[in-house]
Amino acid sequence: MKEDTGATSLDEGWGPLSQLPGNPMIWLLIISEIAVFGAGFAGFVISFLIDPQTFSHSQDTLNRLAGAINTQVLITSGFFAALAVKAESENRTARMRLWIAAAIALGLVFLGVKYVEYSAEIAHGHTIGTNNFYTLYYLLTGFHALHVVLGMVILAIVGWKHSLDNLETGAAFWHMVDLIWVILFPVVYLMR
Amino acid sequence: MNAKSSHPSHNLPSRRTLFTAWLVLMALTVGTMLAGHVTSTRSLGLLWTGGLLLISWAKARTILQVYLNLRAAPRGWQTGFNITLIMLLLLLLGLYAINALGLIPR
Repeated sequence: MKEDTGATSLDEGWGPLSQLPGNPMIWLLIISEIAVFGAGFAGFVISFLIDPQTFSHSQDTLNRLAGAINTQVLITSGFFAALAVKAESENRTARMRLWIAAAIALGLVFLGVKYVEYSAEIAHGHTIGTNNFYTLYYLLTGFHALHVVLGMVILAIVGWKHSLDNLETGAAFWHMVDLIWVILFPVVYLMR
Repeated sequence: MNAKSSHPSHNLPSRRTLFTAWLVLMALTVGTMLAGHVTSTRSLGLLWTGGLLLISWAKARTILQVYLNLRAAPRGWQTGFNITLIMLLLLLLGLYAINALGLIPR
């Protein structure tokens, strides 16, 4: 007879979600974030439809090259996070922490570039209240940047309290931040 | 048996696969820069915007399949996420097309 230990596996009670890699909870979050940001992107394009001239002129003030560089920074950071998970699966803790530190460092670079972008816009008098474009620009990119900060904290925690499940879950959050950005960048910075 | 030992979470991609995905993503980002005319201010038009969103789909799918390791999940989940992604990008393209094709009287 199977002994009831009282312990509950992460996989129990999640139904089809338990078929996904890593902690099912992170996938609930990923699905929610895709829905929330997806609605934000649709709202952004609808606002563009209503006032295309203001949107195009405002968008031209953005540093598109900085956005592209940040895409490469996040993609590389995601690669490092994936390598950290791989190292943890081989019980190479020191190497895992090295990759985690590199991923976090690139997260800081991303935020640094964003700071430069925001500073330039604000210096030109383009604030969140200037028009609908800037309101949505600051809200969408700011909300995403908050996810970057949270992701860096999560990566630091799973690098410290490490297990394969923790690393996989923390890295999944980081990849989700990456996933959102690869759609946010073309929609907010480039579509015109 | 540990419930996690047979879990797809342990079917991690190889370093080679991760590196290839990184290379593909970097190359696609260069494609995004070209299709999005990052150094220009002129309007993209429907064709370039379509190309831009197609590249975005390829990038998002690569992140989902390799970095988020969705490739280890059943086919239904992979298709579900892919369809969601395609629907979102088609919605954005469709909205953009309304303006690009002059369907709104100004």
